[in-house]
Amino acid sequence: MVAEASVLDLREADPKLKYLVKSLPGAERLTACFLCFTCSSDCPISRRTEEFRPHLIVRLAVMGFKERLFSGDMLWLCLGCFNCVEHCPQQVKPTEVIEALRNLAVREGRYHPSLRAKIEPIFEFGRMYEITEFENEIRESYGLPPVPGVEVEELRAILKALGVASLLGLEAGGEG
Amino acid sequence: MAKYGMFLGCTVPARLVAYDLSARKVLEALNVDFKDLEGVGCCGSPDLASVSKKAALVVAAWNLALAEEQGIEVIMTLCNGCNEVLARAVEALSNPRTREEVNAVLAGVKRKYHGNITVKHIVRVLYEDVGLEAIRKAVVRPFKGLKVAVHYGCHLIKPSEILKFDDPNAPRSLDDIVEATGAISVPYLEKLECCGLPVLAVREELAYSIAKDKIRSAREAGAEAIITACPFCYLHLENTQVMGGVPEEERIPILHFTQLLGLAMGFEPDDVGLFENKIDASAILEKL
Repeated sequence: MVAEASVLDLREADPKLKYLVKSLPGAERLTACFLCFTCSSDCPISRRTEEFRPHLIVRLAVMGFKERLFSGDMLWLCLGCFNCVEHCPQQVKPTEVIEALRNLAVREGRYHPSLRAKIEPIFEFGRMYEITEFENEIRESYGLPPVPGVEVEELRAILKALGVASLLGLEAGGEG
Repeated sequence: MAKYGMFLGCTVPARLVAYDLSARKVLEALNVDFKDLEGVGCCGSPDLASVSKKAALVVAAWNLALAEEQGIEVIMTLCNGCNEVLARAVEALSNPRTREEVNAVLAGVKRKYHGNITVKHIVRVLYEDVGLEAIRKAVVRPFKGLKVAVHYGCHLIKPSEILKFDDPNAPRSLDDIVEATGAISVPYLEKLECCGLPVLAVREELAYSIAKDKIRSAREAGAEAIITACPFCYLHLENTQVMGGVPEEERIPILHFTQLLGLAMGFEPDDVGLFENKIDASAILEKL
């Protein structure tokens, strides 16, 4: 994957991408990166696969190579462990930059399929998992109180108002 | 009015009776005044933040607003993920302009967050508010010579800029709590590494390899158990061994830190849900 990246055609770059990324909270210092590679040397994923290098993602974002960033699984391999955020000497916050890029990719309908699978139950039940009578009966048998119900209509209304439901195509099947 | 609002999150109530059970036993015995938060849901998870940072913030704010209405001062989380997401929102919403923007969305569901909530992980509640002295006093049946590997999990201490708790490069809090039980926290190479779970659905083998390296490192340091403070870390470190092809003789039990604490405080294995641990942890009972 990294080997393929050796030739990049600047004519394919969108120089405005960096402004879009920087407009999202946490990613404001994107262009402060001076390519010291601290992030990548401190990254548990980078140590195990060539597919993922935080410094490369930051650089591609600065230069505007959207297609390279949004295709494949690159953006979806970040653990969100914040090692890079802790140690970046320029406070670029690569984790936040990657999250901002994920937001932009999702807006174009480009995301790993597991993302929708994780959000769908939140839209439907208010949590990642449905809690039924069954779980509460088990809890009761151990002397645990029942799990308080979620105000799921409110949560759904928020996810609709902010476009999450339509971005992931949840509204059609998600009505309870 | 209870001071602490218990924020159960998603994974604990659905999959981890033992963490819930042992946490409540420990909190009650240490006189922590808490009640379960009503109506709250998903914290505004990192997955949601991947779709929309703003949506994650508003959902988190909605949870904070509900807690505020219920007269709570401190939201107490059992999950590192909830801890980071909710604390991040508290920080962002301390800016009046951001709060106004977010409240404009919350008005649609007739909620409003006024900015009066603090978020603390249960480790932090025990470490800062209950204190090690009180914990040591409550330990009536200490472990003797039990070696354990402490796993903090990322979102208990990082990002430090937001959480402002402990030292992200050399944390002590969970080690100190664990050592208050008489157990010995062994140093191990991969102590501060992520468990690997977040990439499980994208690259299963990668997620397993991160956990396996960590588990091997703990075993090589002589640990008889790995102690966690996060439901996701617990499940991933356990499932990696059970489902990821770790031979039975090389497996090491994973325990919620509240289970270890509860046992040392005199609770029985069933009281702290030891029956739920998929890797047999009964050997540690011989060290009580």
